[in-house]
Amino acid sequence: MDNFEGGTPMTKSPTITAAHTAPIARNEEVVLSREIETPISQVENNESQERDYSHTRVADTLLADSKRIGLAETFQKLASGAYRAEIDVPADFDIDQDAQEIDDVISLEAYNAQKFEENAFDEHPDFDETDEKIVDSDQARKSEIVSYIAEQVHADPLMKQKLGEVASEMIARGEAIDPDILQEEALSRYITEKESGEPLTLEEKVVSIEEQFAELLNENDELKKELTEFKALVKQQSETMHTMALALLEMAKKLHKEKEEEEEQMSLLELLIKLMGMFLQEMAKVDEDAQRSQNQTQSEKKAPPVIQIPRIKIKTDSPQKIPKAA
Amino acid sequence: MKNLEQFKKDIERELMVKIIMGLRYGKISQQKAERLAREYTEIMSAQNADELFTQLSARIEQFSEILEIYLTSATEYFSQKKESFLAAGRNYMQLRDYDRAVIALKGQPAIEASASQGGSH
Repeated sequence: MDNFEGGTPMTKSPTITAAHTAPIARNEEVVLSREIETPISQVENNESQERDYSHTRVADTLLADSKRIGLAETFQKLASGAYRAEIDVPADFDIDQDAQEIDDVISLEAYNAQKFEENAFDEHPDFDETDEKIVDSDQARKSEIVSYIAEQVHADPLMKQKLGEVASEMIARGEAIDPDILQEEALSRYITEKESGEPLTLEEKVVSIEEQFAELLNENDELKKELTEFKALVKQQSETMHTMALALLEMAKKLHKEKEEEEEQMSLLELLIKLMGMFLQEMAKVDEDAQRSQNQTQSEKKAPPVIQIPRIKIKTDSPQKIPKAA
Repeated sequence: MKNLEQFKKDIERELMVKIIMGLRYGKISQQKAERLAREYTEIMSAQNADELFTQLSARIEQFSEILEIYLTSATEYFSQKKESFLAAGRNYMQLRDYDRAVIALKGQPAIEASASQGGSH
């Protein structure tokens, strides 16, 4: 914790960057326990400090309850608003609302400042001694404050460091050390370093809030772009899958068709062969029949049928003389 | 391969981490934390993984925390789903059942494949 008594200017609460949303390790206890050990950020005024502290307290309570009763119960408790009752200060911290309030305050201050400039001396026509005394006392007060601030600044170790740096640089350059120049240079460096840390005025606070808002908007735009790209990628992948599926379907149909054709061809070939076989068988059979019939015919021609004629005996008394031929 | 309960547990854990870190660093208000908790209750009522991620995707434009969770977990879920489709299609192709392979690759269950085949015949 910084020492306020030493007059050290308070540091601004850390800007929300991508580092805070870096991927977290899966072991929730280690990660979230580690978060408790990080120092609580310090803020400029009491109101913001109380607000941040209350949110940090809620965060710690959430973590403790997550470990104790489980995540589901903790969520239910959070949804029911149970954690709101534990906070003493108003918990509705809305950046937009605060920015609007700050705008209102600034505009009111600007109006008042403008009015003061316009009517600074016009509204005080009766400038009497009492006013002069008031003015003198105000100026005395101012000078007192200025001298106090100067003492605080000179007591600041950072200022001493800057004085040392400027002095060493002047010595390195071979210049004579002029106290006024030394003071001036060191003070400018001191102021620059301090102003780069935090806004001290309302305007600077508004600027820082606007910067944070712009960063959040940029982050939002980047996330939207990522989401668009992701959607396009998913769409492309689904289209690719669809095309692949169609290609596979065509290939499968083609293979199936080829297989069917092949089977058909085989069946036709078989049929043809069978038919040829049958045809050849028939042909062979016909030949056999023809051959058989031919053989039979030839054998019948070679051996004519023997006709048995019965012999008739003629009985005579004398032998017949056969007349001679004249 | 993760199932519905494991996806729910991961989303639950991621969301709680984001709420705690958001509150701690002042990125979100308590009202937003409560809204996120109510959305969580609705999301966890999903009965299956498809419904779970559909409900998540419906809320990504409202809540950047849910968007971040969706971008990590949905990637894992969709790649897992794609692998299961490819495995189913591969099995059918090895059995030379190309009609069912195509239907499985499209993501429809096998029962529908037999019904569609019966219907087509």
